Amino acid sequence: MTPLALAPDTTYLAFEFSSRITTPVISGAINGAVYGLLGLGLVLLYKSNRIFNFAQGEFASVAAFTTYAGTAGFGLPKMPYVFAAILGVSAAVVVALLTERLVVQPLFNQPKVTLVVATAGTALLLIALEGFVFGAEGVGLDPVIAGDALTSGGLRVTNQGVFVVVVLAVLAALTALFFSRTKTGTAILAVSMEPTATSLVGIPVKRISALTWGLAGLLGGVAGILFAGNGGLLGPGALTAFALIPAFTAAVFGGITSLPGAFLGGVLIGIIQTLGARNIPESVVPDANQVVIFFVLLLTLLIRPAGLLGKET
Amino acid sequence: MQTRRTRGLVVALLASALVTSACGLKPEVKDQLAQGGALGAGAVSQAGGEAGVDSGTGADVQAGTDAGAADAGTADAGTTDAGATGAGTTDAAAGSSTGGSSGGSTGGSAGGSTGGSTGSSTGGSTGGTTGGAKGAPAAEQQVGPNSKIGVDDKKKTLKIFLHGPLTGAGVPQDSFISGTPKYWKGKKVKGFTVEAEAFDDKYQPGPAVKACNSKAKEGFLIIGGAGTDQIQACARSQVLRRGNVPYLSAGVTTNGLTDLGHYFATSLTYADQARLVVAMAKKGGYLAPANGKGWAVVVSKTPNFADAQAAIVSALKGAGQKVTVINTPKTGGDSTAVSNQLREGDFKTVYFLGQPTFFIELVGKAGCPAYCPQWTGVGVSMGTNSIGSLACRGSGNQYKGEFLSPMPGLDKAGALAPGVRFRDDIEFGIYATMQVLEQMLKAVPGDSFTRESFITALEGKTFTGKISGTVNFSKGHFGGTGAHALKMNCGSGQHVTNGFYT
Amino acid sequence: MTLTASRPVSPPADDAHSSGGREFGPIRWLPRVLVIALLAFWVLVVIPRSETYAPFAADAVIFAIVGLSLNIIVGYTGQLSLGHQGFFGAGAFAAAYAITVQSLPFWSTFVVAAGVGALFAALLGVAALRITGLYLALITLVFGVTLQRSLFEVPEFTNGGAGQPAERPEWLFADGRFYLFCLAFLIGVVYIDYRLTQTKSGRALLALKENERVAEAFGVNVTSFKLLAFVLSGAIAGIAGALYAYRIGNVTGDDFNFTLALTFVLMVVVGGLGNRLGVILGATLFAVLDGYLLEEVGFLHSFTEQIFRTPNLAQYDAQFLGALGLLLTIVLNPGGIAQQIQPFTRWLSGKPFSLHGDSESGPAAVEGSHVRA
Repeated sequence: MTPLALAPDTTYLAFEFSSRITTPVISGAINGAVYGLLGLGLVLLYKSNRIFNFAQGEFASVAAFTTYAGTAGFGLPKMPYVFAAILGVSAAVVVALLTERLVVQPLFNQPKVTLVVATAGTALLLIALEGFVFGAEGVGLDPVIAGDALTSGGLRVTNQGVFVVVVLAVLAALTALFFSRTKTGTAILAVSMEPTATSLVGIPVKRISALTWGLAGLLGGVAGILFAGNGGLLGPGALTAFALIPAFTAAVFGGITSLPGAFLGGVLIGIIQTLGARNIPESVVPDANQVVIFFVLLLTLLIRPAGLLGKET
Repeated sequence: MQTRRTRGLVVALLASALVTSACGLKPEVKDQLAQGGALGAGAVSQAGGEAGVDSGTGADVQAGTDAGAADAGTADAGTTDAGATGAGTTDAAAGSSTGGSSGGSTGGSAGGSTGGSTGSSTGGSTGGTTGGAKGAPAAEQQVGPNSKIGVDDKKKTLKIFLHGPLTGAGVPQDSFISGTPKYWKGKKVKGFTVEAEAFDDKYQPGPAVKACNSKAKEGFLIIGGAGTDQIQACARSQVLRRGNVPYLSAGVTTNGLTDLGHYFATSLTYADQARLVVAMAKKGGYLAPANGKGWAVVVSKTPNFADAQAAIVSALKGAGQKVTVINTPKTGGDSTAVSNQLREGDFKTVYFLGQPTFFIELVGKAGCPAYCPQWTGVGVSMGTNSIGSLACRGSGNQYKGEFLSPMPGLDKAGALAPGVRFRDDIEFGIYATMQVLEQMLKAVPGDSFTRESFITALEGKTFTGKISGTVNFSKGHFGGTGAHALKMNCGSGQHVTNGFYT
Repeated sequence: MTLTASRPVSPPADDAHSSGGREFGPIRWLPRVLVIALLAFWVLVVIPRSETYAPFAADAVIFAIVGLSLNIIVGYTGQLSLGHQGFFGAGAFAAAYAITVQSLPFWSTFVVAAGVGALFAALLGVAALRITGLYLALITLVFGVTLQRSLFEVPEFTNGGAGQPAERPEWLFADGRFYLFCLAFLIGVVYIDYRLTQTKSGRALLALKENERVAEAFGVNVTSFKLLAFVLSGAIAGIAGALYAYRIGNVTGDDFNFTLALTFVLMVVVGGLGNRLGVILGATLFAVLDGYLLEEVGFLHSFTEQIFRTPNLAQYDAQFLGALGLLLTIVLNPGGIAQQIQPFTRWLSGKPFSLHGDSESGPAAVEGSHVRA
């Protein structure tokens, strides 16, 4: 059973700075924007609830699938993309709110790790439901804006890619402002630090919790639609499988308590991943883009657990 | 109150676990114990003259060596042994040489064929252990009694299985279930009703082997539907080898499959199709891209594709083309990086061998109209239309793809299988496979179906299915003779059969 | 299923607490002994003889071993490991590599598997000394996935996508026998686990879960015990992996994906964290859920088939049930199966049958999801 001698792996092109560095950096940054968007939701829930939400990827999937169902019709008249997308994001918000009500609230006083296991269970449940409804084969969702913004040599920047980066920047800025400038935002932070005390001073803890989860669902939903429109195949659990781990790494790397950190982390993780995949041949390290993520996460946690922009862990 | 409900659920779950397991146990009928009793060898007395013409290529274990001449048999076996990579041949050689010589002295042609067939099948199955890395003793008593499994001589039924990715492959799966029994509706082979059933391999080798092992206890033979790694892992499984379970599949790789006495490839392996890809490309006008950049060969990195990769690289180099190989992780990996690389190299023709889901992603990311290469490759044996449609979708209907397949496209269904309605090309492909299988079953002498008699009936023979073409086992267990070219038509969402290459 | 084998058959002798303090007589122990004997007969005689059932039973036993191994980390030290499939897979590949490529004797492959599993666990254990709680859960998750996608795809060791064969020796070829072989390992692991909780080290481990600082104050060497827990857990998972390799006969990286890691956590939590019998039952349930239960029962399957358009998605049936079971367990019934079956186990151990747990071995003893954040 000796395997056949493997033929040489890659006849690599000569080292060209543009193809080895510039192109991967730009396309990686665009890929990373989606990680950043998912990461925003993760940071939000960490800031407010001190938990890691493993269902964030599935909030995103639900939105993408619902959008697909809207555009594809499914027996009903087909919807314009915008309405389908709004429907998709709303579905994600509803699922997030249901998760909050049925899973998170009953476990309010349980240890955080229990809650984390419960969110993972929620993710599995949602994946199974998506499988029941849409089948395992996967569907293809159209991009929000079709067409290319730029193609030059190896580099291709789609309009969708530019849109994702803009949306990420805007949402990161908005959520950051929300936390620093609005009463509700500060209330959320207060609840996360002192739940008992805040309820004593009259802040409605339960409503605040529902609000944060709803927001997380919204952010996840936007991420899901933008990710699925990237040209890949949307199957049950696609976002959990392909984007959740990079998103977590992005959130931790950027600083798990920092919303701009999620933006920065997402973009950087995307760049590191694509650089790794482009420059490390498969015969040297299989699936290099997963391996680099592991090392980024490990080093972050060992050297600077607060992340790039975070102030506390 | 809520607590009580959960308690109910958990208790119900547990109770059902207990009850079902108990139910599963009581009728021990399921555990098909020895039915045949007699050692298969006795029943296998097929005339040796037809059974084996040695190939000399040494690619495979040759079964019955020509029974007439004892020393010829030995010599043939010797060459097979020397040429083969695997270990199983040692045993087969011993089997056929003793069989051959005793046959020669006692004058029975049956002696030669029995010796050859049992030698190759049992030897082939244990060979991996005996001659290979390990030194475990061979005990082959079970092979004989097992050989009637799946055959019910009283009810006159024959149970066969096909495994495919019902889940997890990124292609529609229901068609495997509906397509498998389709051919056999209202048909009988030698008075036997064929009960064909599909089961799920989850598009992963582990679950595939697990399921194959369990189905080998009920089924007469197993057909590998799709997925190289799954087919290879199942065919090589210890249970199938020991049980001598006939295993048929489209040709994929020779890696680890050449020394199996019970495995038959009904079409060309991916490596063998390499020269056909070149021929197809030449005819299609994309063999020599005008920009002189040559081909990109994108192959997912698994030892099972190593032979295919080496073959296409050397075939293209032989045709004077530059080749850039890009290996990707098995599960796909970073489609952005790969599509960047393709655009950078400005490769106008890309050979792809890997997971369909990754392919669809790659076509989407490559980015028509700015970069819109010709995609080509081999052996996406089932579900081509759905993959092609998704590729069309991702490229704004500008996807150009032409792949080789063991079956003609669904566009030929009306002509080749008149009056049968097929949901998709998966159903059609399975139908074509079953058509060849019917010929094979008919080749078994008499109506005594045993695993051994079936295997012997295949060896050295040629079968022609009306749809898929000829399978020729005269040179070994890899019987493929050609492949159909399928060209995607984004307008109709179907592949169009575009010639047959041999 | 593996009930009797797993529980040290305790004759109802220790009825110091037995309610009423009645005389110990045949009327009290006979039905209990009968039940135990029946279960033992079923587990040790009936299952091995069933060719249909034995492979699934072997799965169940292997999962039970993994469950116990994971329980050492999650149930005893209170850390969450989402990368247990990594140790399991490392053991499986180590055994397959040892027997197929290195041609080592069959028995020694288990030593190799345990060693490799322990080594990987030790690496992670070192990280766990600095990283705790949620961050540890995250890094174990990424660790497991990285092993699966990268290390398990290095063709020199794992034969890549083709999979590394791991064939059973002749004497172990029959599935029934292999099941009993696995069962023997389970009994060994149960014993080790039992000893662990009884010894000083074991108590130290349990103390770690309650509070590391308090444990330290009582002179427990937190660092070394944490490492010990990881190493022991990894070694046991490695052995389970070796058994799994021989169960299938061919191991590929895909077998050890993230869903498997979640399944492991699910079965331990649903079974009842920290409770040996509960973990074994939970593991059994999850092991047979996908392969056997849904296929043979089919009621849920036809149900989902009728409601949703896509037939034959048994994979999602199992996932759906598993996830639902987990959520219901965590939210409504943190003690898991262990808590549910308590009336029965209490009765077996000689106490009167009652649906209400008593104070000394009530839900508190099961200690639902007491995992430290």
